[in-house]
Amino acid sequence: MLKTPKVAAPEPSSDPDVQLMLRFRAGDENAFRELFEKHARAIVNFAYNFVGSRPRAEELAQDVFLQVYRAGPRYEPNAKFTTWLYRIATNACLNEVRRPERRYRTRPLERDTDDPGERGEIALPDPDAISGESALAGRELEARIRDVLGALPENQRAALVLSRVDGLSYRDVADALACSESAVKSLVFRATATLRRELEEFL
Amino acid sequence: MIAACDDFAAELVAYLDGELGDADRARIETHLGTCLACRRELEQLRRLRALIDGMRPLELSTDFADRTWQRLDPLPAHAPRRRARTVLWAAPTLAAAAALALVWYSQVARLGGAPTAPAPHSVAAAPRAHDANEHAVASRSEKEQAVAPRENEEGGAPRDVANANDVTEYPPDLVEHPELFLHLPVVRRLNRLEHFEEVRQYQNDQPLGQVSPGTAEVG
Repeated sequence: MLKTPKVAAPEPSSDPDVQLMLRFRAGDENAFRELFEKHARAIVNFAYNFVGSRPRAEELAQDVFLQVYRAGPRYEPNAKFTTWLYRIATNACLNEVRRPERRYRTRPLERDTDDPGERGEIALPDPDAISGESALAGRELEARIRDVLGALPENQRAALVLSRVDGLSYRDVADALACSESAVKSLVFRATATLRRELEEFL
Repeated sequence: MIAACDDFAAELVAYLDGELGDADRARIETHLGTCLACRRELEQLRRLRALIDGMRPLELSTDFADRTWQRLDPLPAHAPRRRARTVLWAAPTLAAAAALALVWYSQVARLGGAPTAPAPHSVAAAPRAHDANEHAVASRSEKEQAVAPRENEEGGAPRDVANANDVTEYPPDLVEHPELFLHLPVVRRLNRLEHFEEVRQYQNDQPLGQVSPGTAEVG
């Protein structure tokens, strides 16, 4: 069973980022700049884990902040700002990777199914080509991890990146992905199991 | 890890992520204390987390912020833009309402000599020829309607004042209580006028929405 909060969830209005958005809604452009400077790097990295291309990741991040900017006048603090921001970012990234012209770039490692028997195998470079411990921090290993991440089903990838890389709680990930916390738990577990299997030689 | 430990597999990831409640966390820790396979599994998951955490975050391009502001600059500030949208929406509506009010006021002013309006059926003796003239004017295009007053001024037969005051052209309540008419929404005002025109044609035994051929040549 997932963790149940011992205290009531904080009101969105107590979120300092929400306060910045409210100031922006009132016409304070500097508040938007503060939000941008605070979250731009995280959103670019989040997008990079989806598209694997810096220029495209930065373009997607710009799209996300353009949406935030345009939504400013009608913003309502219904959730934590980061939850809302990552929801926009997730939708932008999923739309990007689902574009037909991009499909060839992501290899279907496994179908989005609960049946482990339907899992496929990922084509990784020869592990012997990487020199053990020294490679752990190296670019080649990192590229391999990104390859495995990139081959995950989209919702597993989103759940793992949001929780592991961006540090969101399962509850916030569920809000961002519009699913239940138990579904997030399952997605993270399956994504982790795949990474563990594909990167076993480095563990 | 034995088969029974499979039940703990998903829990181990959530355990590492700190997403388990107190009871489940205690249950996992009790099991880990007695199961070497699950402890090894947990250790592998920790190493995997370390690998993921060790990925270096991408640094932003030096001109990323500038490029973002360039994309934002063409967008007007949100507050003025919102006001502009409101004005754009309101302008034609206000213009239409003003035009309608002007037309109606001019008609009411023309009827100024009839403080109280008889019921439509009580003025059946009013000349029907004038009704036909009114039909023709109503059926013209806007351009023709714009020319019509000039024709009257330039030698055409001037309107018969008595006929012009024929209040059967307007719903009685509009004549008696014009202030109520002004309180109606624009659409309802138009509906009231159209409805009255249909009633008038019906009383004249004319097909609804049609004008008798002889009335089209009124100058």
